[in-house]
Amino acid sequence: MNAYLQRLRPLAFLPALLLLLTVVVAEQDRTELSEMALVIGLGLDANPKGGEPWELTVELAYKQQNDSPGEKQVFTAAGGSWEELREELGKVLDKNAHWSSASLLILGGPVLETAEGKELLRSIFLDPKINGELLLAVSAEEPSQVFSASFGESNYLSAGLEQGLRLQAKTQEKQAVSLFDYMEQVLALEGSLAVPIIHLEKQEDQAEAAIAKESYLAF
Amino acid sequence: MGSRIELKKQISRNLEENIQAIYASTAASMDIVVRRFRLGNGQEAAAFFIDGLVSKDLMGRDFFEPLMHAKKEGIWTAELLAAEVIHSGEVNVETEFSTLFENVLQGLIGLFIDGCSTAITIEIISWPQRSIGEPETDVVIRGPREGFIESVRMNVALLRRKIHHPDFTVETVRLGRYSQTDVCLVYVSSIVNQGVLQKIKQRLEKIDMDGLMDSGIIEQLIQDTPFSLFPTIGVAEKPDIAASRILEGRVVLMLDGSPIALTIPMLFVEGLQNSEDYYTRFYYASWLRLVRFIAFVLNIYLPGFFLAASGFHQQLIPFKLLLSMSAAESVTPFSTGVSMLLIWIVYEILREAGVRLPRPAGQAISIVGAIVMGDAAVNANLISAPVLIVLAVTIVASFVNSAYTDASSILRLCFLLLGWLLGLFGLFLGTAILRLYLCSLESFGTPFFAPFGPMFPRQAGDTMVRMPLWLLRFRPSELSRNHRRMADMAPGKEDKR
Repeated sequence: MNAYLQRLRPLAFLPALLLLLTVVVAEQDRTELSEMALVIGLGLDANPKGGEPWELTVELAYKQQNDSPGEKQVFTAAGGSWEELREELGKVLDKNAHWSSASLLILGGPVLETAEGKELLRSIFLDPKINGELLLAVSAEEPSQVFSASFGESNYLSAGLEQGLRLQAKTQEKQAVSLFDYMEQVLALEGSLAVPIIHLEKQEDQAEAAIAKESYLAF
Repeated sequence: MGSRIELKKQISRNLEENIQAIYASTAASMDIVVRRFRLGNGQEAAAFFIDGLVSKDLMGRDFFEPLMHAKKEGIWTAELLAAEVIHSGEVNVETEFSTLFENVLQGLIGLFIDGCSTAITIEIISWPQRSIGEPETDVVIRGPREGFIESVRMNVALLRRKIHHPDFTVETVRLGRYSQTDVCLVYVSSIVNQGVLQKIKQRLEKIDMDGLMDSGIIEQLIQDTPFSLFPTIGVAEKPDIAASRILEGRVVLMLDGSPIALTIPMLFVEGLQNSEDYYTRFYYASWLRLVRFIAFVLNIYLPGFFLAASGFHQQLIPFKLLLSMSAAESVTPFSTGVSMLLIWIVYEILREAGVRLPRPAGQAISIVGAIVMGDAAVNANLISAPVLIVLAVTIVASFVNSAYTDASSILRLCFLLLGWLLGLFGLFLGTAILRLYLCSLESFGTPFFAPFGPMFPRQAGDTMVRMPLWLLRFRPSELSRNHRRMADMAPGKEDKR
């Protein structure tokens, strides 16, 4: 045994080298809390300005001090695919987007009605950083307008709408539809799914989002 | 075992020669006293002793007075004086000069008689020692409060009060070329693991150094793995703890001048147990053991887990908490990991300062450091509040298991770095390595991580939880060859007899 270990001595540096390589690689994945932009809601629609086909809108949760309730920030980016949209958004934000806190995805009609839109949704679903349980909703207005509105007492529209959709699912026996449900029932099985509709109601000061009684039938 | 003082061999019949030999050997030490006097029959004699180690009152009453009034027709010999005149408890007749001299250096009185080639040593020791009190580091709410002191004789007597059995054995060896320190091995011969006992004796024999001031020196010299992270020799400051371990088959090693007894072998679970566990009800004792285990895990893993979650696995953190943490970190100049390291170093400096300073100042420093500096650092946005809270919880958890303070301090740093650099993967990797390491450790031939690795299912009832006492009928089989320690005393059984 000792002779065997003696022969292995020249290789003693290998575990240390392996650990060093692991650390170097792991550093690529590490994100400081101060460098994170917390994305809590996403919106996808056809680009109204022309050029790139799709427009991504994100609602960020932002807090400057611990004792403040927080405020939201809304950013948009345009691109032809999910990777391009993320890349363009990275240029707009001054921090790294953190996607796992996102709880709501608001879609425009063209996303659900075209093959390219469905492919875009599939790309989003396959992104490991996106939580497949985020809820879906359809909006007649542009998602950027929806995120600029308010919903109830919540500081963040996405958080408020997510709670509203789940509450509606319990009380009215209307299913809250997630991205995973859409993938499973529509894209995989080629079935149909009733997706809730969000619309804006004009108030005195600003627009107020509301959940419509009807649902959008996606197939 | 030990080393002998090199002096002239035989005691001379000439009193003057013996006295000159004393002066020559002691290099004119001012605390060596030589007192010439005459016995009751006119025979010349001389006593020599160490000033400060002998009770002067008892010496006058029990030593000089009977000797000076000892009348006899012929001459007195050492043997006759020891048998008929001296009424002190421990009297020995010595033939070798070196043995006599060694015993006098230990606090006995040496007596030379003119015309006699033997001498006497009499024990009337009264060296300064503190009174028996409760140790500061092993405080209990219920249970005995007395603790060991620096006198090994008193410590052995305290143990003797706990175990009144003929098999209770005390072996004494003398170690240290200059200190000549008494080291006692205490065990019960019918219970002890003889293999462990022989190993201890063999390792003690190899000790050859100038002096041993504390049991910690012996611990480092005889332990299995000098570079071990975990201590493989247990410590006991109280007689009830030491006696309990003797009755499990361990050997207790005590050093004169040290209030800390060593218990050999040691198992990992001992560091998570407390003597009070056996004096309270089993469900409360079990709960306390679980709390200590949780504290141990928190102490080691919490900073590393915090850095892993905040750096790699943010999805584990609830959204509102993540938002608060992000807001707190965004105003600090350092990254989370650097903040954690810096504040931890500051804490270690404050803790060390608090221990070394005089007690009132030390407490003030600790309070000032903990509250004022921590609060000021957060208000100045030097570190974030979540980092400070994590460190505070870790520090409090570290005080729960004092046996592993050293090891957990190093492990905490290792897991902090692993979590910071590699995330949860690093923590799992570190845990696997730690587990393997614990399973590889031995304490005098006994697996350190027993009964978890290797598994001893019978001992599981006295590890993380404490089963009712009537179910703990067997001694740990890895410690003792004599397994059964109590009869079947389950409640209700005695009623059926």
